[in-house]
Amino acid sequence: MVKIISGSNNDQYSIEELGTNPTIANVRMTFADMYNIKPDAKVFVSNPLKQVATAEVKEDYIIRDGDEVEFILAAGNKG
Amino acid sequence: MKIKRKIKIIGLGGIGTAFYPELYRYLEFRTEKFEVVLIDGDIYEEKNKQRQFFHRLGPKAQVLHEMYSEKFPGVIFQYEFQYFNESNAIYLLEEHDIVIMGVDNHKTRKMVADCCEQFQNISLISGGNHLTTGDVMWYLKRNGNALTLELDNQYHPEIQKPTDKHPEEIGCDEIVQSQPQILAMNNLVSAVMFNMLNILLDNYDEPKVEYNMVYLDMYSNKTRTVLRT
Repeated sequence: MVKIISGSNNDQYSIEELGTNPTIANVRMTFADMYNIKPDAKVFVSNPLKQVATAEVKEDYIIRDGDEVEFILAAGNKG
Repeated sequence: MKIKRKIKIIGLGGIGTAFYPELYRYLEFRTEKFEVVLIDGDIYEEKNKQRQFFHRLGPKAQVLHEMYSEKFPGVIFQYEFQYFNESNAIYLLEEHDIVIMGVDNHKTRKMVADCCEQFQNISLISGGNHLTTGDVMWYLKRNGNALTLELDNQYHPEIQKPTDKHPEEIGCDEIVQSQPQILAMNNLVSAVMFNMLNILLDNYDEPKVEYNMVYLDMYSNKTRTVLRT
């Protein structure tokens, strides 16, 4: 399973549900509206199962089983 | 002898307006003695009535001081009718301050964050929102040790290198199109900030840091805490 995270959203999907080519770019497009992911949002990936620490990744990164993918929601600017 | 703590509230817009009335009531009945300083260079106008409560038009910090100082005599109130900037930072904030920030631009957030990072002991709780989502972050430092990431960390380039304007950079003739905000969202952010202040005051010397950011969504009513390192 893969976690897709953005803001208060934190949901799990199977690798199959992410499509045949689960790159960051493709997943960003798929979930942009649902999770309010901006085109320029930074992306960080970790994999607790494989003890992979959190690191920023690029758009061509291919998501693997066990990954936790967070599209960083910008801090609210209004108040 | 009661411990005296200083709380500096920077920004008295939608979030600040929702935050401080309950803050005064809360502080009045705690065992510590508090001094609260309201800091904002803005004025209340008719258009603010949709999301902000005030009894007259005029400088926000002064108006709020009038509204609440006599009702809660156990708390010392002061106000500063000025925007926080790099020049006044040096005397507006001090060691051991608890800084509550609800401003409407990242430029000020960056300035406050930079200032707080210079102290050995400081507590900063910062809230902000978009239209239907929001977040609260805190920065805590004790005896020179940062217990949390700074606000302008690598995950938030919008605060690291803000592209918006500080209120003092907006010219008199410049008409700024206000981004719409929702009262419920301001209140949601304010409630979480209040809760984090409560948690902080109950463990002031050794705060429990199980998260450094809370994300909020007013439509789904979801919240998510994050511990970034």
